Amino acid sequence: MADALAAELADEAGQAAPTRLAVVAGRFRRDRTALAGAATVLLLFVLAFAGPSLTHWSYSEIDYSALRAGPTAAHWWGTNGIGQDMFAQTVRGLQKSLLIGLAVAVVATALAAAVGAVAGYVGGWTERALVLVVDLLLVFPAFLIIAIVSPRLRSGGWIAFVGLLAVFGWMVSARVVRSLTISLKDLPFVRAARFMGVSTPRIILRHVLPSTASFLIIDATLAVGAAVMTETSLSYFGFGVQPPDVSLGTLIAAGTSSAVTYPWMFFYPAGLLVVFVLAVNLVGDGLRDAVDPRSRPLRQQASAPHALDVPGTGALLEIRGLRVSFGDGPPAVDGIDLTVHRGQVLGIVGESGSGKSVTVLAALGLLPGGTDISGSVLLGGTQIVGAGPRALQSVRGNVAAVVFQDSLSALTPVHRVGDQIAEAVRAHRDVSRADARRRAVELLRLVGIPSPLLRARAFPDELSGGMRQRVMIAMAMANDPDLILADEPTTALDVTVQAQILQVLRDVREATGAALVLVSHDLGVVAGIADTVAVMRAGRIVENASVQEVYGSPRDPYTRALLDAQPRLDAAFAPRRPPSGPPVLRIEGLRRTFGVYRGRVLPRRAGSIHAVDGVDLTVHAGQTHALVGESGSGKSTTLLEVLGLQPPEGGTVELFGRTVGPGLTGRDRAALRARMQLVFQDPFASLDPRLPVGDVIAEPMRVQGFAPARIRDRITQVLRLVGLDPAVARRFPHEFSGGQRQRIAIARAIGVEPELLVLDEPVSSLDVTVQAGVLDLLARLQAELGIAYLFVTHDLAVVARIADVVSVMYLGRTVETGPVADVLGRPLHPYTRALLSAVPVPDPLAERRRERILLPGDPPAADVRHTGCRFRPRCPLYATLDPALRPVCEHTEPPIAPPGGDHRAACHHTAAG
Amino acid sequence: MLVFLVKRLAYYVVLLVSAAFLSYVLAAAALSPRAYFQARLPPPPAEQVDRQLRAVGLDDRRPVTARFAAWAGHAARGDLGVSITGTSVNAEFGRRIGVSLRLLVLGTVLGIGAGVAAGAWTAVRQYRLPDRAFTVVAFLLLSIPTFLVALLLKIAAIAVNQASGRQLVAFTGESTPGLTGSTLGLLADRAGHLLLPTLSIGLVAIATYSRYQRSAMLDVLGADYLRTAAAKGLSRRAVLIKHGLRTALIPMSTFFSFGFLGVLTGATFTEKIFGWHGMGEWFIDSVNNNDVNAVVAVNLFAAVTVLLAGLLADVLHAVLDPRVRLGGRRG
Repeated sequence: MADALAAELADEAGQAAPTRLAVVAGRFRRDRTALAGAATVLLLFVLAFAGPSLTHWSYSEIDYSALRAGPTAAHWWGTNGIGQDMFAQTVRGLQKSLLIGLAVAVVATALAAAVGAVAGYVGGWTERALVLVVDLLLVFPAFLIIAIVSPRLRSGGWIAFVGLLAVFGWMVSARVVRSLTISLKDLPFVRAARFMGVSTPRIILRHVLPSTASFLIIDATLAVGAAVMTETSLSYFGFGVQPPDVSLGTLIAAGTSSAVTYPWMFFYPAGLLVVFVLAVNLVGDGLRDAVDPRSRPLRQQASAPHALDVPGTGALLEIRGLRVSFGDGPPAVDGIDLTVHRGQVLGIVGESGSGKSVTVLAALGLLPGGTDISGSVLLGGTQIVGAGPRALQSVRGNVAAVVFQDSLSALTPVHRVGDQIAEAVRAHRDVSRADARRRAVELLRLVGIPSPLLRARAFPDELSGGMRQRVMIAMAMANDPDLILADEPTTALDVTVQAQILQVLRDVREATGAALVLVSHDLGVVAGIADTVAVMRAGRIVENASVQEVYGSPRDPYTRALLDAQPRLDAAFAPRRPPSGPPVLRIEGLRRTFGVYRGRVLPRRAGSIHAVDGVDLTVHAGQTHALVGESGSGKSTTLLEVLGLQPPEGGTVELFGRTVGPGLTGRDRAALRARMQLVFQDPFASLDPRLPVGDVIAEPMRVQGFAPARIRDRITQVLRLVGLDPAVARRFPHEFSGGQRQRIAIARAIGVEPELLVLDEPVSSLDVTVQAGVLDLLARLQAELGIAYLFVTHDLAVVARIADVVSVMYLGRTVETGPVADVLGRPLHPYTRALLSAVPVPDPLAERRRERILLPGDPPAADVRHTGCRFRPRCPLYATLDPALRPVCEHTEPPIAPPGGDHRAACHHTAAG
Repeated sequence: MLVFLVKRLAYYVVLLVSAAFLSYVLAAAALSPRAYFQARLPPPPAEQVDRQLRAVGLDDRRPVTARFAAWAGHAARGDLGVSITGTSVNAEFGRRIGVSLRLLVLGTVLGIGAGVAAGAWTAVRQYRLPDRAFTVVAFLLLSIPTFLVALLLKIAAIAVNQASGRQLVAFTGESTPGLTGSTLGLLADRAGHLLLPTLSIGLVAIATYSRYQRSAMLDVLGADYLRTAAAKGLSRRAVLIKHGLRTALIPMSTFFSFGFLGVLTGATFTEKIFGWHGMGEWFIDSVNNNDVNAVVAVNLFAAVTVLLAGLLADVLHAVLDPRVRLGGRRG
């Protein structure tokens, strides 16, 4: 455990980072145009308010001796048609315009924030009403309405005018605040606050508004400029400020006729107006850049890529001495050598930040401009480092092709997948469009997509993850490349789909004889397919040998640490404690359906999603119960139902012996929440980035009404329990690594001494070595504090490591439950068997020898109700069944059998197979 | 897609009717046509004023809703009532609508066309000289209210004319009054008069749209699918235009309707400043004359054009983003 913790601390710089405010202020200070703007704004404000005292003329005073006089010592900026001093007049006008601008900006922004946040968060009819009102008011330009109403306002003076301007100014901002709020509402840290029982107004004030603060500040700044422009436009035409009151608009109106003959009467007010608005816009834009900087290309091609002159040896891909660095930090790749021969499969493994993806990108020259690259990359004899665009184009997609990780973002969303594949074909072959399309369909068929002609016309987001990845493979194969580079091709996929895609890659290799470079953090994935394996760490290759050597007798201690940390299905199971005491959580027949609604203004129900459709599980005190399933299985929804503490739509939920039903009062709920806490998946999003760690941990305790002194002590206590220094309470979440943030999340959860901890994929987004540390921590806490865990995960290997009991879910239902050793060792349900068969094991021999059960198709969507067994369409057992035995699968939903038994499954034919 | 558009159209019709009601009530409440008729020397007797008011449907003793109902009844049949000056609103509308539309369409087309091109180009050359130079100009333009841009252009034209001693740049009105000659000559004259007003509207529109497009383009430039397109072996140009710009155009369609509001406001000022007898000039004059019927007619025109722009934006969005058309089915 100490090694794991050291691993975590090692991947974190460790110095106290500055607060977010300091970072933003620093960026703003470095932006010279924004600073110039800010200085100008300040200067103008000083001019407007100190100006009148600088001159002895008052703005209305008339000097008969100087009519239309040019600038002189007596009248610095000349006089106007009736002898009033232009400087005094302009300064007064500036004052009025500035005041109006500021007032409007403040009122409008406050309105936008309040209304937008409430509408976005509360939703329902308040939101619809807001959308309607905004749409209505946006139908005409504000100018028209204000102009119409302004005659009435003459009596009310400029305050009413400000009000009117503000009413029109807040609308567009309110809409943006509303959409920001809507996307914030679902962020894990807001959901976490909801589950902890924080009240809605407090959530809006403490979590939602501060997150919109940056937008609001920028918006308010720009609103000042816009308000001043609107006011001057209105005043120019006589609709705004009325004489004898003076504003920049009235001055410009008065001076227009003399603009050419007596320019000072026009250009001083006009010039001041432009300078002010420009300065304000520069400040606003500078703030926007400081808050959310666009990645600047660091220095455009700072140093020319330095290609080493290395003679080729005829291998397909030869990398020698490759060094890649982005900017001033440590290099991403620090001198590596790799060779790939024709037909070979090379696996590159490593954790995040090891440089493995960068290596793949460098092989095709796909790194962004401004990256420092040196070394030699010979691809099919062509030097890639420093190659010109034409050389790169001829190689890419032709000699070597790439399959990227996240196929949703890797495919252009607005072109059909068939067209995108055809495009790849036409990039290198001189064929007609029709021929290219035909080839695209053929390729889709080759990678196993059903109805390829139809699917070719689909857009990327109409396809499931597995289908999209097949499309990417098809695209890579389009021109029969000699080398396919796959960068984490299965990381984002469910485990059964991953097994399918790995099979596709194997088939493609066999069909075309192409070489393959497979990059993955999962040692099991690589074990089954690679001939040689390179292990990368911090930009260097620490081990490079045949797959048997790397997995069987690794030489480098890091490789050994990786292999040890990887949870394995075939590891020996530790003897588990039998359940003791009453159940802390009991669920029977839980049901939850979501409606699918169409229509924005008048939504109507267009269908249902049966997310949870019959879930049974029991968690005893001090036990770890794992809930396993793929996407669409309903495991996360089950969790949310338990946490929501609302009477279930169907079935029963019993927490600590109390039934969750309609009779549950708010006080009962608060009491239950004191005994049940949660840990979310994403350690980066489940902690509010704007609160220091101490406040984050204190929040559940505050909701439960703990005394401040007790809270302080408890914070120190829990931080020590999770292995962190209590001093971190003063720092902010973004200063910590993923593993440390997860520890903070765990500390937050145990602060109120709960008896049940609900964890939603708590280690899925962590590196393998870090994962091991967090799992060990959880085991230790359970042993010391006797907390029960309900642990949702998709990773069966993690289940093997930490759970006592496991329930497998499919399409909203628990299909098998039992002690871990039984379920994983002697699975009863065909789905469990397929799942187990799909999990890759980091043992090359075992991986290659295994008989794989490949499930056809994708994990189904939960919007269709089935007759009979819901697993039947994909069930490998059903496919091989005697026809006489089939009807029962088609007509009857299998009950969980044997009822009351320790190890139960929902299948009619558990004895068979 | 048709269903989607029809539903939007229905929503817009509802908005239009509500907008008409809103503007009628506001105009009736804020303006006082009675003052227009009473402001004569000697002041006319009350019954005469009442009679005159009733003749134009603006009797302020009737409740507002009744007046609106009467107006709406006529409007639905195409009759927008009588102006306070005695002329038919319809006739005046017809005379002026062409003038305004010419300006609006030209300004919008110029703004979008040049704006999108400029925005995309500066995004690709981010932080280099062309981008910086264009950003300065765009910022400057965005900081000057449209009426001031128009004024400055006019002043510059006057100065140029004075300096050269001839009418080099004509800017008042749509064409030189009393000009005869070949069609080409007349067309050239009109084009010359169009130059400054179109520039006033167009310049600010270009600045606005180019900033939005640049931002949208920058968002896209860092996207993974551009990398995939490059990995296929496509030329840089194909990657940027066929995959980058094509996707970056989608959010622009929603800005189109917002941007159009700005163009409409700008056109209103520009007409008055350059002496074009369009809807904008009519509006300003009508407010000053307390002419309720005319004001409402202009508001209706504004609402219809904005909603049309919105509908066009929806069509554009559906054309550019196929995901909208299909309503997001999952495979």
